[in-house]
Amino acid sequence: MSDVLLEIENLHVTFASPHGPIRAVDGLSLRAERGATLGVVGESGSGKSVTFLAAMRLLDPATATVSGRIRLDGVDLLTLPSREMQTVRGPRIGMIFQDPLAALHPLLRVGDQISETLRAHGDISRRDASDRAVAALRRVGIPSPDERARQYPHELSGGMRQRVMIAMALVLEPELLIADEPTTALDTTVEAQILALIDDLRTRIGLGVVLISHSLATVSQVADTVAVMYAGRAIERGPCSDVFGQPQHPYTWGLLDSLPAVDGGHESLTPIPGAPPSLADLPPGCRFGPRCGYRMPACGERVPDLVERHAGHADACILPMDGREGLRRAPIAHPANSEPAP
Amino acid sequence: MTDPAPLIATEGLTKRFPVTRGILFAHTVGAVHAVEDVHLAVRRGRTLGIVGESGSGKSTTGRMIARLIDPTAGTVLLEGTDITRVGGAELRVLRRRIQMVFQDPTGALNPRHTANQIVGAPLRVHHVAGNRAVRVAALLEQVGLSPDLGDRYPHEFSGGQRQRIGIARALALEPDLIVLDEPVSALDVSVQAHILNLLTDLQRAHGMTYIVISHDLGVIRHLADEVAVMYLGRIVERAPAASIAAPFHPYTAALLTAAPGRPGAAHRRRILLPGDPPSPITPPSGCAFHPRCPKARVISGDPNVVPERCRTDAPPLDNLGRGRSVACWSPVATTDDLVGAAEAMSAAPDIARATSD
Repeated sequence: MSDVLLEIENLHVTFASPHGPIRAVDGLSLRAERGATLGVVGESGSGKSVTFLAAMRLLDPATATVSGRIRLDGVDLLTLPSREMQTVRGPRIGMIFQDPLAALHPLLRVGDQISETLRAHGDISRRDASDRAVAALRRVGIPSPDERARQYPHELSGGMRQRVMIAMALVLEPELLIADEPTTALDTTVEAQILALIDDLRTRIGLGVVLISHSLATVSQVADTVAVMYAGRAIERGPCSDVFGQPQHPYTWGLLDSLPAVDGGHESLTPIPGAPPSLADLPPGCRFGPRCGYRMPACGERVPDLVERHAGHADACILPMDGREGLRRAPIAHPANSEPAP
Repeated sequence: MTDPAPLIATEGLTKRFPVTRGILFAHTVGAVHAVEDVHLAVRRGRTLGIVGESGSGKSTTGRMIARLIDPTAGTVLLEGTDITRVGGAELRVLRRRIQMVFQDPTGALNPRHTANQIVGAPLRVHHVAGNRAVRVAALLEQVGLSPDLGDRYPHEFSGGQRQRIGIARALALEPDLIVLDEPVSALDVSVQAHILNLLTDLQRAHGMTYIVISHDLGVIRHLADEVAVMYLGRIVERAPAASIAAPFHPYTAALLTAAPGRPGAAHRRRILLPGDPPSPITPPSGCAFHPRCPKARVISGDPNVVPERCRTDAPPLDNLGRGRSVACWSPVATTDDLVGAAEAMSAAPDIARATSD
């Protein structure tokens, strides 16, 4: 009984550049469910942020070409008139970003910034709006919210600012929260607080959450399902425990083997050889092929589809299913063990 | 406490930055207590990891050791000689022995210089004899870059390659000690692993000594032989890397459980500390950690009450043997009771208010 909230189907985002078109997202399909957290992991340039900027229609149509479907509750956001999009952005989908200091207006009190959001989206008196702003701050665990509402962003700590951003994103009671690297700029102990807060809001008010992060560890802590992105495509997706417990794609193996463990020792790490491909000049076939230790001739022929192998767990790799686990521990050959020149 | 012959040691290292008000008639109104009374020692060929959150003083400590800033008090000893106050020619000699690698490889490299010029700069500045071009090529090769790339400018390299250039520059003078300040924080996961392996290989090959500064316990535990945990300018715990997983300080315990573990590993119950690290301008009285400390509440049995000693006296860093020391009036025996105590604290409004400035 899945309750699909946001469904992305065959999304393509292409940017024009002097070096030719840059295919930032290239045939991505994903879904986020109500009351659940979808974790989207990938390294820089994998397309994870661009995907959700496209969903919010925040990309400049002059430079970005977007095609495919992004449906919220069945309604395609990409074909929605921009006036109607204003009733989606905010009231139905809230979004928070990595750097709350850059996202907050430095010269406005945080309470006023939240009430401004309310007043922009509805007929509400100044006084009611400011009361609701204080309530929103209280809901995200900010102590003495009425005093905090009168402070400016620079008077708050990084963790407090991110709480303010979450309060602002949720004040219109959206169904979906898109959190793009919400804890990357925060200290470890504060990151744990913010993740716990997002998780608490998800269970308490049934919020759907998309957590975008470069950190597998962060995502693994709170996500229900995970999508691993590489060069504009999802190469593996499934329930969090399956993707990290029985990863199937060689890129996911590589990411996991690259991580130093908090409880690990000095044993040498196994990094992924090479560097991600240029999005203006993608390799033929599987995008990960040139860096893959298990590459076969067929890998260069066509881009492998994301195929579901077990309940909900899909990967885009043409390796035979038998004995993949054994392969993970014995790569055939690494093409080169350093990053090539750009 | 100190090893027989450490390569580098600090004694009572302290740094206070003045806080001033006014522009025309500027006057000092207080001080940022960035680093307070830090004692460290690293033997040759070993790696010390300093872990802490922002404002813990870890970078300031590293910069004082590298003589990039001068301490307010205390000494830095290189093979027993005080280097805190050397200047002129002596300082130039010292610079050859201690080098530094920074977090942001883009900011640390001159954008108008080629890789060859950047890596060759220390050789030029210090008038190192020999064929510089040959030496630079060898250095680039050592860090895994093709010498053919030497004519390129920083923007033509990827983040990982730029950090390799920063490391090659630090290696140029064959230093005894390299201070690495967040060497992989700005890099993607798969690139991080390359750089971590490179650092390990270089240390093995040259017997270098490292001081690694990071907020990431995974990185610290991977590289370091010994770990020092800093909180608000002080070292709160020191331990061999292998035994830090059984922490004695409640802050270390919280840091360990808050740090996201390897995906797929069993999740430990997190000790969620309330509030943020306090301001180093007005550090709390007594033990600086007491406003957020769950252990203090376990002792008092009340989330609103902190034992008097924690509030009034700063605990010294006690040597517990086996290379371990801790600055806590009642070191942690089990972390189980800390989870609940931290939760009770977060629910107590007074504490949340007092710790969230």
